[in-house]
Amino acid sequence: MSQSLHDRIHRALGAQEIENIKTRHAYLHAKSHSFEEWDQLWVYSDDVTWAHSFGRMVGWDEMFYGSVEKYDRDMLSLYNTMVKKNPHIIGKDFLAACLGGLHSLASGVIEVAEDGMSARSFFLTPGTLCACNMPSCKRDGAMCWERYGSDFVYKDGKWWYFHEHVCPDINFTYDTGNWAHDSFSGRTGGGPPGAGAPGGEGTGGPGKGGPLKAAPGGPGAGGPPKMAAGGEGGGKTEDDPRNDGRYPHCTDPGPLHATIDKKMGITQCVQSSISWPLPYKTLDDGNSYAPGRNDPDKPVKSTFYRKPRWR
Amino acid sequence: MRYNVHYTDEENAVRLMDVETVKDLLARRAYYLDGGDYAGELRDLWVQDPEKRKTASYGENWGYLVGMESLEKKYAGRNVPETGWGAVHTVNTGHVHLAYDGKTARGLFYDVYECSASRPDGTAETIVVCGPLACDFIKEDGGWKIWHLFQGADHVFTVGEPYAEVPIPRPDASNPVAREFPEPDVPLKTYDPDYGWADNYPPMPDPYYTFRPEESYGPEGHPDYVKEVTFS
Repeated sequence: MSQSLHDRIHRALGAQEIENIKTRHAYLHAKSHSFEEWDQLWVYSDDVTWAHSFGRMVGWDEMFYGSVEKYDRDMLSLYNTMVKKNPHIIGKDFLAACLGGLHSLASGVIEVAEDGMSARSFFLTPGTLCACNMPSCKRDGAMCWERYGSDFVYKDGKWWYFHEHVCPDINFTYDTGNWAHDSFSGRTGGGPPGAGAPGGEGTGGPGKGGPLKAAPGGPGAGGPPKMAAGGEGGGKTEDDPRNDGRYPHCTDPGPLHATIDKKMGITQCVQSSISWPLPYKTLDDGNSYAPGRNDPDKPVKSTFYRKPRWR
Repeated sequence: MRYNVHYTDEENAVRLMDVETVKDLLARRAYYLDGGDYAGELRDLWVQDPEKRKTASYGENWGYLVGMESLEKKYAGRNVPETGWGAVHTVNTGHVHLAYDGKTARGLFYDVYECSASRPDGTAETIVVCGPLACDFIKEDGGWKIWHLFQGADHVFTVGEPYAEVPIPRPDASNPVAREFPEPDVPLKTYDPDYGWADNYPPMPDPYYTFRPEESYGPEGHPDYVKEVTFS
């Protein structure tokens, strides 16, 4: 590829701007200021998508409802619960006063398309999800490690968020028990931590009080399911926990990714739900975290009040 | 106000380098901290211009040290136990804006760090701290320097002690980071991490044209800072 200095500088500036969009998202999300994020950072198109384990929201209305209106309502509900238990938070920003922590960003890979009209990024977040004002009235020191696959477009002289796919890998607490062993023994049927009960799948299980040793070979039959983009095996069933109202409606139902937990086990391989971007020419189905939804100019069939203020 | 500023390719190339350089500057500081070389940090990374030295500042949750003389005495004068001490700072999530005039830059980062120290009784204490790191950078003799720095502490974990049992609100006496902060020149409760991110300090930088003290990460940029004014 041979490009002019001007085009190369445009792409380099784009890569810096992608970093700033990602970090701006991180700090706004820390405050749960969702409206600011979607008002300032996202392109106004009906091909916008936001995906998580539970599925992929598609289009401005669905995404705005799930990520802003429902999220604000959930934060207000938490705040109202907490006000009764911890009156000291009265008068504080109800969006930001309860949850804490930050999805800090690390190990970033950024590619700007050869045509300079889109960019793709891949970050890992060792998120520190610590909080003081939780329903338990105790401090909560937790971590959440996730991977982000993100697409951006250059439109009207500005870079915009276009697609987001969040893949939560590990959740654990700082100060309670041995989360890794619990996850492992839950997966293998190896019994309670340190109990020395027989393990499953060739691990032999941990000895009493001894170090955890996983035999080579990794997960056997019934190992981690393949989680293809688009939700292989997706679709909600009546007893699906995703029907409990916690999750927003998703045009593309999940699961799109499986968190490492007692069901999946700590020793499962990293899933191929999303991958880091490679150098590419233009945004297309082969270079997108939302194949089939790559038109940043797609008209929005939206109710008026959800339109960003300045666009 | 919104600005519509245009740059040549050459100017944009310089601006690209400037942003990367200030990010490097804070990363370099992390390694100075890891080695406990506070004096070296001030000597190599902070402003040297006599006028800027007067207004340089370092802040934490409990106030600010102001002026390089104060920093050299109080910040660099902190004791590092000779019997054993170590730290690892991971500076991440950098959000940087270079002023349109190119003379200063502002950045908000997050620092998750570990710090261990030996005790006289032969035991050791390790803490893990999560907190914001906000900085005003200034171009000096063609290079970039730290001018105002704010290092907050959101969550302070003492390894081996259940975090859930730390009281809310947390008394400073039980906070190892508070115990290490020197007597501030400008005492001020800059923000309270017991309210999550509700206090919004230090704020995320926005695009800006030129430096203004009331928008800085120094004490004058704090919304609760009171400037003494006398009319004669």
